[in-house]
Amino acid sequence: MKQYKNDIAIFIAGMFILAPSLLYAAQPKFSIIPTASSITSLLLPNNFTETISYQVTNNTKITRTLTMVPITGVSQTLIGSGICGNPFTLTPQQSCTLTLTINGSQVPSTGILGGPVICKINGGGDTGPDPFLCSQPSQANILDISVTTSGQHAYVANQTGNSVSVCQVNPATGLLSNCSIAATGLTGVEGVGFNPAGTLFYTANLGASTITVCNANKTTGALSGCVNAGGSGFGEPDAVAFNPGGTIFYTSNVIGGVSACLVNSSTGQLSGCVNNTSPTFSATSDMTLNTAGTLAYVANRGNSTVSVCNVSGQSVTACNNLSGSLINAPEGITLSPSGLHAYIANAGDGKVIACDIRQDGTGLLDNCFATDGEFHGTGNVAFNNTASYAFVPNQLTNAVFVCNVTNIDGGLSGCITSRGNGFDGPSGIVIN
Amino acid sequence: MFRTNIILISFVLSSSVLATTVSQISPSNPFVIGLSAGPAWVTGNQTQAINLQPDVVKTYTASNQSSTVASVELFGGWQKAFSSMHQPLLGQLGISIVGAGNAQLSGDIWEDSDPAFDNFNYTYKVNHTHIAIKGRLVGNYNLVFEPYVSASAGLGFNHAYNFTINPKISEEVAAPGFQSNTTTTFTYSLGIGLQASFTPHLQAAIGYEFADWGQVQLASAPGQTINQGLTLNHLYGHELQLSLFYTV
Repeated sequence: MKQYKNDIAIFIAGMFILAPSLLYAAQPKFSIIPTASSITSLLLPNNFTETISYQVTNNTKITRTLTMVPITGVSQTLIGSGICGNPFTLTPQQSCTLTLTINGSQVPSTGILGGPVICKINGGGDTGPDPFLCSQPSQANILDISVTTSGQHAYVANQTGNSVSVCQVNPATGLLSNCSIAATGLTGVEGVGFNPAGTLFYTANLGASTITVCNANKTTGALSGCVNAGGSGFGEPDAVAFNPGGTIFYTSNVIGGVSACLVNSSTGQLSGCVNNTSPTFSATSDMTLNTAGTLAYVANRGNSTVSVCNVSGQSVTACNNLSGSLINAPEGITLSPSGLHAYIANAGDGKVIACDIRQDGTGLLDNCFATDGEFHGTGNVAFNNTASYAFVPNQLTNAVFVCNVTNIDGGLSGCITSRGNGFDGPSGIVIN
Repeated sequence: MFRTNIILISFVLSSSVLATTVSQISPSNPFVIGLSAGPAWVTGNQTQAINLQPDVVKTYTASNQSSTVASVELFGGWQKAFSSMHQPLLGQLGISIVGAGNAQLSGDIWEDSDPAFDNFNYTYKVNHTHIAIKGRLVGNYNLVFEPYVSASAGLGFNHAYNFTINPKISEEVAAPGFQSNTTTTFTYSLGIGLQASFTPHLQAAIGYEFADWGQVQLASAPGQTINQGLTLNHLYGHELQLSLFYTV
């Protein structure tokens, strides 16, 4: 009993000691917490915009009309359900979503470090921020934006959606953002690619047996003026490839081997198409050329091989499909920018196979091994300009995965979802 | 109490023993100058709520910690021996100029005057000087240690400056700080101590002095639309004074 009384006394004494610390506490007046999908620390190319959202909550006991301290290069989205206006009023414990657009072309060269700072307004008709009552995100969640030179865009063929999505590629993380539909009406589109100058964008529309050409804005990534590129003899085309000069367009056809067409340098229209066949070809599902334009690599879904062929002008000859291994109903083939490795996307087992490319002039495949990559469906692997990231489409999950590229053997690792959204049966992918 | 009595008895005994070996204060020298120095413990910070804007109020709590500064006093005046109620005394009257170091005052800031938002702490410094008329009454009993009392009243200058606000959490953004300001104010002091003569001209003293250094006020912060900055009606100094006096 005595022990019991002592325990109560100790408890009461403890409460007296702790009470002041519970009463006098530090907490933000206005909580500013990034939403789950928002990344607040970014390397932002000067041709990109990014959207970052925070949930703002009034923790005080007073209804406050609030506003954000302006930040150069940052604008606020004002329309939408639950979106904070400017200014915006929050009752105690009420929240809204502060949605910010960061424009890389307007961010100072020194970047942005800090904010967004939310303050009550001055009042008396002045809606400017009153510096006497302000809060900001925690140090880990403040805006930390660095700007860099122009970034690349990812173009994803939505085979089910008959469209092409364009997304920004973060140069530091490889993650995709700000995805939108750039072109529509592309029936069963599977292959996508650019002419060597990067000014014309082509799609191989498997469902319509046509090729489409669009003008590409390299700064914004926008596509415009998409038209049928002409040409003839296509049978379920599924690839886009060019010779180094951009004067000859190549595509593989599920039905009919490899087409080679002349390119009008100003309009991009195709003409004079030649059809190349080979006994090694079988339901050709993708193709690409080496950087010299002397070798073509053709994926044969029908016989689970890759044909390595000589290229001379519009002629694709002397194909050899005996090299390489682990190839299983291939749907895509891509060469690394270095020309040292080939990546084969297997529809048969959902694996990405990496092979060495012999540097003896034959270009044949060696030392193939299954590497990381969440491939599924039809499509191909793509690389960014520095070959630091590889992008793998997955039609099962309507996602694009981004992987690190190992310099030593070309293996892919650490594949994660790219955060890009809006894909509908992603197949072909190209980075420009 | 017992210890205090022991000390007093020790002083008296030592005075009696040493009385014949030390010089007396010479009342025939009419002028006296003195230099005092010592540490001062500054108190007086007060918790106060201030409306900075019509809809913004903050409470500035006061830390109860005192600030220790150095204090220096120059004294110059006249002296005269006289008796009061049959007590032989030496009276000194003159001008005192005092300068004190930078007292640092601090506390917490409650946003909306709500202790649940104890989000900042603040500090600022006060530099004090004053000029005053000062009088001293020194015992003239031919003891080694003569008791003395002192009092002064005058004009003080409290310069409050370097007001800074530091957030306790990274989410909070500090409001603009109050601006520096010098307040001219009434000041007074009361002192007590013991004084000894080494030569007919040179005396040393040790004592305690209480001083009310008067009002301190910071100016309003940039953008503040109502009221002023933090205000203290009284800043107190508790000083241990070590003094040297020279009579001519």
